[in-house]
Amino acid sequence: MSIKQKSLDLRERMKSALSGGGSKAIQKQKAVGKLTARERVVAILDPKTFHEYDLFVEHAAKDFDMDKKYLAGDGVITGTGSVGGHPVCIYAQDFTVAGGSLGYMHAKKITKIMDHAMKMKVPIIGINDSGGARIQEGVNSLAGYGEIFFRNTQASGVIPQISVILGPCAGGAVYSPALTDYVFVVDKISKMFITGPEVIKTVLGEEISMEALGGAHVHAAKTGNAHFYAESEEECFGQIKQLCTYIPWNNTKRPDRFPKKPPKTRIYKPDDIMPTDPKEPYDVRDIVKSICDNSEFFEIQELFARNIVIGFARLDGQTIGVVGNQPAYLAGVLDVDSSDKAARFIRYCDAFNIPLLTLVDLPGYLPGVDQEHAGVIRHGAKILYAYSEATVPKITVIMRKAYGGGYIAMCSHHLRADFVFAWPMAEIAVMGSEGAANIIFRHEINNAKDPEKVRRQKVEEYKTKFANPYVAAAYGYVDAVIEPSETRKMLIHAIEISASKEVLAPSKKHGIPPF
Amino acid sequence: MSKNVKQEDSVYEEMYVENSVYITEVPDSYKNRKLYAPINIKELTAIIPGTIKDIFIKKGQKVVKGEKLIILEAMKMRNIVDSPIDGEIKDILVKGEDIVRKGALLVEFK
Repeated sequence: MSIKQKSLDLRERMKSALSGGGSKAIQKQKAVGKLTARERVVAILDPKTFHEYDLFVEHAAKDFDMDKKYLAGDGVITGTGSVGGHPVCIYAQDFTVAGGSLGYMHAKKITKIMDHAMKMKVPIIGINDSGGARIQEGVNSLAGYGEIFFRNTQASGVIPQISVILGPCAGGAVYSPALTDYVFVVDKISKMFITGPEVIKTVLGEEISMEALGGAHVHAAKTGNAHFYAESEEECFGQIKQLCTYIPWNNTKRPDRFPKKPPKTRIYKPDDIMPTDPKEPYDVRDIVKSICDNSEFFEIQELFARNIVIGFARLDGQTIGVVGNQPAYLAGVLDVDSSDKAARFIRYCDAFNIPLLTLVDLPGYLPGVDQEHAGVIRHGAKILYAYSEATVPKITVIMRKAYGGGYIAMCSHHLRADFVFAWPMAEIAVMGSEGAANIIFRHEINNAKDPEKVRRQKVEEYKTKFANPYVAAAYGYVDAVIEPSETRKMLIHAIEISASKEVLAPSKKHGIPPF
Repeated sequence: MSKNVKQEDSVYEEMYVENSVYITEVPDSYKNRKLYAPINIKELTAIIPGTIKDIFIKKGQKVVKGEKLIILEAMKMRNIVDSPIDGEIKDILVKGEDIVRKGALLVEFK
């Protein structure tokens, strides 16, 4: 055969492999509003950068007549390309080929591209659209999952790992996304659960739809498994690209620096956003926008544990991670979910060299038996652990309330914040004035002729004396009391000064955080 | 504990945290949270969802602590439900092959 003939033969073989599960299966995929695996990969990557490998990989299963079946690419597409001009590794499960089921060679393709990502120190993007383990391949399917989970864990904190759920992701399969940094879900398309509705119905008699059990909104708002929620695949891909502009390519690098832009202070004026009465609500995201470049705040887990806000922004062109209490929701208290949400994000920023900005305004922890019994001690401790452990530049702005344990937890100097600034309205105290006065002056109040009058008097007395930033400033727990309008300038300087920050941590294999 | 306060176009409510009232959005998940109820020793409930496979007791029967009362099959296991106390069976609220949810009342003691 001539080279030309050989090349034609190659093209024939490729055509067959590239056809996936065939036109019928592709039609079915399209009918439910889903793109094909290859279309998804191309849509996420920069134009014309996708290079595919292992196109000719085939399964080697023999049982149950599997030896008579040809599965194109064994149901998964792997390759490399770039996002925003940076190289990435990517894989996408192809639901049109045997339901994207995971067999031995399917898993091998995934682990091979993961190994490649680790070796080259570039991010890995995984698109999940699979019915689960390929039952015909038995224990080899389980081995495949296990090998993926191990690599997810090894890669954690070294290279960014992004999971995109664009179809079912059930049973053991859910644990790969859960081990990665960011999980993207799309309304009506993503479905994640350990035990499906069928089994739940048969075993427990509980009837629930797939959407209500493990749909995109459930994971974005209720379980916290998902970090980004989109209405369409297209919107989801936009979110992925945007995220990629904020994060570094591996843990030895810093995020790209962008041209600096001033915030839109005509729309977002801190003096107008914040009511001085510490009991009145406002949206802390408006404060972030009043400080950061171009007033752009890229929020993560927007719908989950809304009493704390996390996300990325830029200061002077540099990425920062923002953690802020949200007084407009549940008064901005810390609770089981918000502690969990913030702690994980703090550790992400620390692993990937992203300075942390903490905006404080919280009354304390959410009271109640349900919170105590849900383990608010264990979960709340995660924030303390994450902040204390983090060695990236840590800058805290105490805006209004910082009471009790909440004050300590929100990146106080005691947990080694590098800079703590307070606004003049800040109230840094052991507890709110009402509570403190009730305890300290209990006898005077109870023995008074008019207890209510004396109580109010004492509350006012306490407020005047202690509900301010100056007591903490007198001990050096606050580095500077600043006017809100000075905040951006102070933060930019603080980050500049911290550029070569070095911390000597005690030698250890790893700590034991309160997981 | 909380009442509606209209503020601009969103509905904020009052919420108590440590002696102070805050104006904020209070989600249903907080308002409808399960309130604590002390455990009633006279009521035996299912600790796991499953299917009732065997019942070894009758109404009015005296039992001792640790006595085998029911087999509750769940998670591919036949779980033995013991009596938590010495007492007399007042009522049995399940029968064979019933599918029960977690927390379902199985047996009442006198």
